[in-house]
Amino acid sequence: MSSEMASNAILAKARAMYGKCLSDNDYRQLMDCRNVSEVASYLKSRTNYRSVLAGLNENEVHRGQLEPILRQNLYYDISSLSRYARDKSLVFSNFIISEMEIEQIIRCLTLLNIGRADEFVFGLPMAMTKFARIDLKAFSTVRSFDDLLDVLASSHYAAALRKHRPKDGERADISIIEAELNNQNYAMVMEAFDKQKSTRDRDELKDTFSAMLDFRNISRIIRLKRYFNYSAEKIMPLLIPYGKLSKRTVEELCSASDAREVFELARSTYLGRLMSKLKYNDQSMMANALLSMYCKHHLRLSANPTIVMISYVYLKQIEIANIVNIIESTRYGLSPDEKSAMLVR
Amino acid sequence: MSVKKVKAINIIGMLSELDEVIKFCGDSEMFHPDDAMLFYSNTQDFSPLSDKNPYAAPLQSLRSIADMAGLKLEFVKLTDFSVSDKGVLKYVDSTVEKLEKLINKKLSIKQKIDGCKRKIEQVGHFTGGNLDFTEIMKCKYITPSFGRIPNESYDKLESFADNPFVMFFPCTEDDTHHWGVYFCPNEPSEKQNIDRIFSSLYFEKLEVPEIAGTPEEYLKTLADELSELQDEQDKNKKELDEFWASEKEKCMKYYSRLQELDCYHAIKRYVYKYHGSFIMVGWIPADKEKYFTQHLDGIKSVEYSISDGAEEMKHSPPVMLKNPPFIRLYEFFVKMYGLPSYNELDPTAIVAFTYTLFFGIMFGDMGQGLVVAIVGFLMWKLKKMEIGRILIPCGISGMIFGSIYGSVFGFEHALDPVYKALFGLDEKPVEVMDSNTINIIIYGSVAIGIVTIVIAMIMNIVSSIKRRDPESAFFGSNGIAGFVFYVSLVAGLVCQMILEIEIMTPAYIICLIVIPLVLMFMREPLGRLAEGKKKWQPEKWGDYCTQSFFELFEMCLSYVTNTMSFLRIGAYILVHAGMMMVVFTLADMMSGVVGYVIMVVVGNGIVMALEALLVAIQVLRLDYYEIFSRFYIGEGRQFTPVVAGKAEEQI
Repeated sequence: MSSEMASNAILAKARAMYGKCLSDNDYRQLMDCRNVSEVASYLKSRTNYRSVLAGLNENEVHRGQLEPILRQNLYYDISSLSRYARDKSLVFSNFIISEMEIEQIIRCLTLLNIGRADEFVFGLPMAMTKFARIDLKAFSTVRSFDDLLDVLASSHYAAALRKHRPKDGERADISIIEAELNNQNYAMVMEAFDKQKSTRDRDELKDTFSAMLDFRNISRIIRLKRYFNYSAEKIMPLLIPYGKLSKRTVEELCSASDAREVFELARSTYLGRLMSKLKYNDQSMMANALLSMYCKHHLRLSANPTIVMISYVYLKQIEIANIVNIIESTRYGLSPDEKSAMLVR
Repeated sequence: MSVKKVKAINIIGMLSELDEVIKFCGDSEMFHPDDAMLFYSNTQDFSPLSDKNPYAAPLQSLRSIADMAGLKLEFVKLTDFSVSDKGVLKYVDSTVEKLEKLINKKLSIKQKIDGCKRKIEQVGHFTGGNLDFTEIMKCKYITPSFGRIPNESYDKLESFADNPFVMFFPCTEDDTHHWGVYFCPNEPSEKQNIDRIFSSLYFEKLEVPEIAGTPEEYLKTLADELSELQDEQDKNKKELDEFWASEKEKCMKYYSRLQELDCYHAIKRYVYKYHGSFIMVGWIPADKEKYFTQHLDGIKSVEYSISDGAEEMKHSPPVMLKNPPFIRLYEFFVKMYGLPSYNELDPTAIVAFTYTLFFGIMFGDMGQGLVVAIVGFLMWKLKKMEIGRILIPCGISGMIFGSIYGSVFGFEHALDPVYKALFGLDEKPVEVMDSNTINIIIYGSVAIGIVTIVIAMIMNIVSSIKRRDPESAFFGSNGIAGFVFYVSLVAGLVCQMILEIEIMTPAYIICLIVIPLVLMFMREPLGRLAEGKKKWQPEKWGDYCTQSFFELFEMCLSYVTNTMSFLRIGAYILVHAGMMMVVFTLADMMSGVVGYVIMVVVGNGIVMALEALLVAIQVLRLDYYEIFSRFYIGEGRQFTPVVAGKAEEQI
């Protein structure tokens, strides 16, 4: 009973935290900024990022420094919500922490592949080391794939990494390892959802989470079609093997001739109803826009702590991506209208 | 009290007349543009208009420059203002240029002031050590680097324990940084490597060469510099104020025209080219069809077709709520949950009625109700808060019920003379804390709950039939089966236990309780059968029966809990009386009249604020969870016509 109540605290906490996210007015002001310093200055003085940006010299800041600090805010939020996560909501709390750990593993592998493993420590978010379940600090001593295996030996990532250990003198295949680790993470969360005692909880969780995975898959298909014009055979293994869309529908989407056709086909699925409410015509923005709209709806109305937590975390990730886009577009001197077209709200 | 009818209008014409059509649609303030692509099956030859909006950049420049100058631009309705589009752009350009000069000066001074303050703060970290920076910088074999490193990076330094040159000597530390110095040998490759490591750890160097002598001497120079800069800042502010005083009125007019032009141009985002023609689709209120057709008929090349919203359900027609003024206030709550779809029932009237009634019953106090109404009025008038408008009728409702309970600011017998004069009663008619009244309040609350749930079920049946959802309409827990089950059970229990009428016969139980339960148990296959689907059977009957059994059990349980949920209505009547009793007990314990009055006033304030908040939330909860969840989906989208002055929110 007490754990149930603690989980319910996430509802109030996440909604209160969402209230502190950037408003439309904040976005307008940020888009009007003429350089990165002004963006940093606005974030530091007028938004909820003030605590993580305190002490930052906005006149000398650069993007590389700003982005990890903004992400630090997300880590604080996750750790703050995880404090209330019990039983049900712990499932997703662990899932999101795993997602972040996988991100660091992949970053370490990328640096290993390009022979700059000693630089890992520079980008290591120290805030994350407090709640990560693997020793992230030890990653800074990694100089080979075997070193990485040693660091992760006792973790659940070890088996997947061992499976894809590169032969001597070869580089690790990062995209395969990333897909394997992520799919393992999705499988774990889905399995945990299946174990929910209440049918309603189970259905709601699976339904909501699967829809979110559909958005990710659609986004991936559109990107692969638009930039690489991949065939269905090449796209299918790169997709998340979960979601609400039937396998046949996913195959149809992958077989589309171009990104525009994917977009049109998606309209004929259950996503069409959601898409009709969107103001975005740009296909590449569509998936995130759908996710944003979906998460906002669930954040406001769901009574399930896990769903509210998922929604908050994804909305916060979208917000950080938006800020990074504003910073990038400000550096390239784009107009506020052009910047606005790159944002998901 | 419903969703207002809208029509889809499909306009086709020569590109040369597009601007005229757009201006008409914009001026009408009743045109909701939609993506034309969605309304056609073959869109291969359609291409979006690649017209660049010539007004967006000047408008943005004017807004941002005004914002930077701290000037407030407002949209004004233009009646007699005839300036060409070019004239508008010319004026805006020149105004932006003038303001830019003043702002650049302002920013430059501000930057210098900030820099000066920052240096004062930075150098302050190295005072007190009697250090002569000029002497230190003369070292021959090592180069010192003074500055600060983020605390997070300071923690990472331990990863470089094996490198003897990566060593940082902290002088002071604050919440975010460690301030100090690192030394590196003057051998170029080693120096480059150490500097790279510190730079990657975001070490910020202090510009030491500027500091001549000791930090204390340097601080004095900086203080003089700061004072001069502040004088310059005051002068700049005066210049800006003078400029705005002379230009304000004119600038507002040009700004409004520019906003109008920008807003109408934004409609083009939804327009497509088809050879030499344009195709534009949007929604208009059904009752304005004649107005649109009359005007569009006057534009030579334009042809249009109009269809009913109901025929365009797959395009999700936008929703415009149509309610009388009192009910319209409560659209705020409905929008917060989600607007009804075009073919869904608008629940605003139910919210208006239940919210006002429940708030009044739960908050019942004549004096406090009056205060809530006044506070609501002020919130609306001064802060334009929507919730303020809702508090006005709620406060009045609280006053009405307060007069029934005879409570005025917690004085439970203040209205006794009125009752005597008007109705010849010795005292107030309802004594809430009386044990008999408490029972009536509890039973009354449950009765209100039953009636409300029954109304919500009826709404669901009507709404589901409208949406052509037979499963929900006939076999759902809030459909006809659920309705018959719930009403029969309640009627049976009331007759048997309270009125002592034997109606729970075997025939009654089988026909009105068991059969509806069986229908609810079988709702999914029955629903699919009613829809005429061939594959109506569940994949596995065993799984279906197990799942359905538990769901049915939960459903039955929820009928009870949902009905009991309305007990909170009665509970708050008692809470109010109880809390005010505590206030008066505390007031009686105070010495003297002044203490008594202060305690009563403060106590009333606390109880009023607390109860208004709690009651407002609890009633909203009843509306959302006990009523809306039974029949309302709320997945509609709002009808947002293009209106200049509100462009940002709408397009």
